[in-house]
Amino acid sequence: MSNIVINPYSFGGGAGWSVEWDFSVDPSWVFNIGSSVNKVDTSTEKLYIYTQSTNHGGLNYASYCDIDGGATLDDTAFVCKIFKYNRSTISTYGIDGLMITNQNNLTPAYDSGGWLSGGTTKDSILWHTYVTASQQPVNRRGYTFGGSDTVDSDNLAILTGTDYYYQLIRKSSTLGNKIISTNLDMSAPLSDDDFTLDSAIGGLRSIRFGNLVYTGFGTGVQQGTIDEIKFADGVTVPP
Amino acid sequence: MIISNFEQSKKDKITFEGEAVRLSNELRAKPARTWIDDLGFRIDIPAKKGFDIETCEFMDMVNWLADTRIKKSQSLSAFVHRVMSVRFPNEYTNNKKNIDNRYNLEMELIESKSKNDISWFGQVGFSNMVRLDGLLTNNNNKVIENKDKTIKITRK
Repeated sequence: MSNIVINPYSFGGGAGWSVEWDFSVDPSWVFNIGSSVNKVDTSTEKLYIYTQSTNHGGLNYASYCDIDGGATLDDTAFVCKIFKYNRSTISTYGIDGLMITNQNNLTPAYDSGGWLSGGTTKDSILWHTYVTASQQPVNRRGYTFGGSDTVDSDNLAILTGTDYYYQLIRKSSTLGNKIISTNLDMSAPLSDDDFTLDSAIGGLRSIRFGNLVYTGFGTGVQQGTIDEIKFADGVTVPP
Repeated sequence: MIISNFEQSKKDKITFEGEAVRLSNELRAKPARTWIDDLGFRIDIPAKKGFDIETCEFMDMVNWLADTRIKKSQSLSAFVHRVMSVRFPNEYTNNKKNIDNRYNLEMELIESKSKNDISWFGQVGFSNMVRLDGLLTNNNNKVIENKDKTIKITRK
């Protein structure tokens, strides 16, 4: 049995944010589908996400893009903030979202269980939204999974052409918090909720945006631009 | 030694006590559950074996720690060690070297600082407080306990 304990503080260091992707350079973002739209554009300094509503590689094989942070985050404390996520398309019926996940989830398998309930079968904190057939397109339900609990279901009025700030915090080994706001300081949030995590969810190191393609469950896509993504490792308060 | 029950009313609080409640709940047995979610997916969660850490036997905790099929966080393992040291001080002293050799120094430290306090059990869920031996400590960060007992972790 190994005596080695992986130091979880290797993700970054020093004051302020541990990782900052402002897209002034291409940080080796990975897209699983080819598209002239799906890219990091260093001239506009934006990440362009353009997932598709068709299967890629087989049943339930969705389109996604992701990046590996290069090292694991603290298993008890980190902040992830996404700046100016501006959607060009809002699905009328379907599922999309983001997950902060461990290295294993970057394998091609991308099943519905992983996307719908990432924390129950994978090491990941999943934050997804979807629109059911009976809902209006703008009413997007936010779900967060971090283990066996489905902890939140709130109606979010996400609109196209609007800049949103997303913030997800791991406050302890078992507690997280997510906020969506149109303001940089996260004031007047559309959603601000704590949620329970399984403490065993650890080794998180990547962030992924994508959508689920599943027969009978709509054709959700995730299309839009992001200005910046930041991680602060080992803290529960944004720098 | 008897420890007080973990108050479920505190399970949503970002405090040492709240963390202790959440960690203790992860160890409890859970019945199988099946439901159809809003998207029509059938969700099956099998029954989970577990134990109540307030009342279980010493060997229940030893066996849980030894079971390599269970994925355990550092926080939850440390939590179990701390409760063991309080509830079964003699057994812990006599057997701790047989439990998990990765924790030798940590177990000595837990034993020396052991106290029957729910907050002390729950400290292990927070950054820089998981282990007493400093192995997971980041000197750039500090733990702040506010007047209302809530916890936040900031840069120094």
